[in-house]
Amino acid sequence: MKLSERPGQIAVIVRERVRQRAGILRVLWRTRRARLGLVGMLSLFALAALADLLASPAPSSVLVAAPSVEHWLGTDVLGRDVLACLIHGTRAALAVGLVSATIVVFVGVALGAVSGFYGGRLDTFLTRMIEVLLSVPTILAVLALRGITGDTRLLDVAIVFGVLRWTDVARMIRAEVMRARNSDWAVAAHALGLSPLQVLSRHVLPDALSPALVAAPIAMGAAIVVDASLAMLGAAEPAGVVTWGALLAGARLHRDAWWLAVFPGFALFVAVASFNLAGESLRDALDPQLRSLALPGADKRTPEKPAPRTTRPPRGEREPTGEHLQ
Amino acid sequence: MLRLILRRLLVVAPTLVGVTLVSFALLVLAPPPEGGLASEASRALFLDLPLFVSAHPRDLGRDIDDALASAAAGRSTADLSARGAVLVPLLVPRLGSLPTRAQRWALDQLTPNAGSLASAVELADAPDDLTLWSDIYEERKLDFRPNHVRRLVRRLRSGSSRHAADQLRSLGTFALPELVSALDDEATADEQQRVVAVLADLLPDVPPARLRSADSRAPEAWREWWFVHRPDYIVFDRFERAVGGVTETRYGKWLARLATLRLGTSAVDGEAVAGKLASRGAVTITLATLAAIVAFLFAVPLGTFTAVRRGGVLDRFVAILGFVLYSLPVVWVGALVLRAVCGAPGLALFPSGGLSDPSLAGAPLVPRLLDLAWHLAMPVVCLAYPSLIVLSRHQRSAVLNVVGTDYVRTARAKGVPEHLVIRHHVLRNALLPVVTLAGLEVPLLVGTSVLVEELFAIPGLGRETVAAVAARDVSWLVAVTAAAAIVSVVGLLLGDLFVALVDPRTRRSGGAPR
Repeated sequence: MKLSERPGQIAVIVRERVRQRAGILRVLWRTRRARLGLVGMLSLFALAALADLLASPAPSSVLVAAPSVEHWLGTDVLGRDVLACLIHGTRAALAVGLVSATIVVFVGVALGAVSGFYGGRLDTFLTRMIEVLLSVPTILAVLALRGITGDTRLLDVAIVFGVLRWTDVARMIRAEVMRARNSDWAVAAHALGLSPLQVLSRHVLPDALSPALVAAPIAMGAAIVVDASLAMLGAAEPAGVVTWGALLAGARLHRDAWWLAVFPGFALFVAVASFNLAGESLRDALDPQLRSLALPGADKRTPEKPAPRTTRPPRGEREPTGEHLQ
Repeated sequence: MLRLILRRLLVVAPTLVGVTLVSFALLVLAPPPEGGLASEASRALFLDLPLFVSAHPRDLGRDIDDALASAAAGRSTADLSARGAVLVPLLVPRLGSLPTRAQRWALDQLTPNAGSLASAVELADAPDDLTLWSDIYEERKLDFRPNHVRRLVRRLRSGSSRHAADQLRSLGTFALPELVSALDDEATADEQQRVVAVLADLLPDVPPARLRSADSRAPEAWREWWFVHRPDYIVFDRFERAVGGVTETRYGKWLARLATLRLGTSAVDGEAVAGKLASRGAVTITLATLAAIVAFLFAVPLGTFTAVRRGGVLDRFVAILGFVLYSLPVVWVGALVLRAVCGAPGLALFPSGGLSDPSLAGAPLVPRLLDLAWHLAMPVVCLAYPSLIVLSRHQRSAVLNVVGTDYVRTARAKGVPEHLVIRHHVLRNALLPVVTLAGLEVPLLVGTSVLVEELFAIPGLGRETVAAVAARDVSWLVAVTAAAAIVSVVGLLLGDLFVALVDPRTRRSGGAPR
């Protein structure tokens, strides 16, 4: 139905939109998984903020000592208390996650929105660019950069990750923007005389942002994993930075020191799992159509079958076919 | 259908250009080597060339013109005498028409290279005698022709003529293009060695020692040297001059390197990068392909089963296990596997690294293949499980989507048994999205295999790359990034084409799946 055929309904549409947006957080908090993820994320941030008050990773004389009363989780190759390192390692991990997620979200949203809203040659160009970046393996790119510049800079993994991996966000935002571009309220805003940029920034983008919200925590988790993996293989972090990956690298040298492998691994798991839980439950709350992708625990709240997909596939355009079937 | 494939192939071209640009960006990031722009290391990276567009591509002809102009104007002028006898046919015919100061400079360049002309003795007495120069050149003029050189080189290669080598030596650097092009892959080791011996005599002062070594790497080293130094010794023809604005640039040279697989030599062990890429890449591609197959073969039944038994015990167990594994780094899980089942301190069920048992070197094929499989089992499991989790989740959601459709309800209503409904109506239609996604897993698999190879000591691309990072091997690092990206592009392409092939809708409509 065209907007012109139902005069006076703009107010109704606007009310509907406001209601939709406010509901997200309430819906989110209702599931156990989301609460778990959010609590995990918040405690990580709290640990990072209070790290100096809680423990000090100063080297002691006992190197690679097993867990004891004095060092609850043992000491690492430099004689640092593993528990203290774990607490201080949250800072590096969160820094990596935040930097990469920020780049991913900002670049992805900006390019995806412009590409979806204006279309045409710009869109074609960005699609090709995304295809190029998709085919560059992140880990290889980081290794190549380190080897070529001869430097291990702070947060280089995070930056490379962000620069290469905004593509998923861009594709999803692009699909959302293309859909919202023709919605009633966008047409209404245009009819009221707003410029295209105003329509995009005030009326189209806010409705298309949910993929970015979902992608941010998941990108944080993924970047932390890449960073830790490289550190574990001995592509060392800059000196003076306490990271979980560096502890894991110590575990490769000392095969008997199980505490160097288990505890940092667990810390990584807790962090990444929190981010993933938060991201996935956020996706469920924002987009009921994707609920079938999630853990089965999420299904209990909504016993009805997920509606057949009609509008868009979950990972942007590349998952192409499901919608033609219905 | 054909149109669809063609269109998809056409789209790959700009993507490949993008990939070369990304790897080129890495190359540009490399810090300049010590010794300034003229040093051998800088020239091998083409740091003396502009990035994308060259207004005046430089060759020997332009070097000479520039030098003559600045000599005529009385400015300090570059010394080109090291370019050798190739100067003779370029300078001698012009001697008479040059202004005095330029003439002086030209004679200075020619005198050290006079040895290649027969009457060097006469010239040594009167190096400034212009008529003597042109007389002698007239005598030898017929020798300074590419066809003549080509004949000499052919005779040198066949080994039938003793004099061919001497005559080529007397022509000096003029013979370089033909000599280097004789070092192709069709030449036997003997032929190559004869050519290399002459080349080494022609250019005794050229730095890399590898050029003069007697081993099998010398021909490749000469080809690499010629790739870098060619413009110093030839005058571009009209075509080359026309395209030189694009080809005589750093990006143009990088493209030429990629296209001819002349990727330089590795700083780790001095081997040619292209050859190493092929041998190590075969290992990585085997590993990644096996992992992809394993992931796909397990993901489809697992995803289907968990979707059909949605909410059941197995569904929840798989989901939670998948979530836990997916939230852990592959290296960490791999290290755990290594400790648990690959020797001390755990069980020694699997080997702790490498690709084969050295004691089986001469064994027949079957035991060797079994040994390979035994060595690859754990790396493939570690590499496959992240993709398996992702793909099975997508398979589960695809099946759930299809199960809710009208035609499935119709099938059930008309009494089709449930397992046939799943097999014929659900599975086939749910497979396509997952096949498409499988293409996307290629770059992920290549990246992850770096970690797995390093962990399990498998001699693939990844292990080599980690070594290259320590050695700061720019050629290898740039080449491996480009190669991995190109492999990934091909993987994506194959995934798309496969979907187009099996999906009747794309065949009918002729449109690319978007």
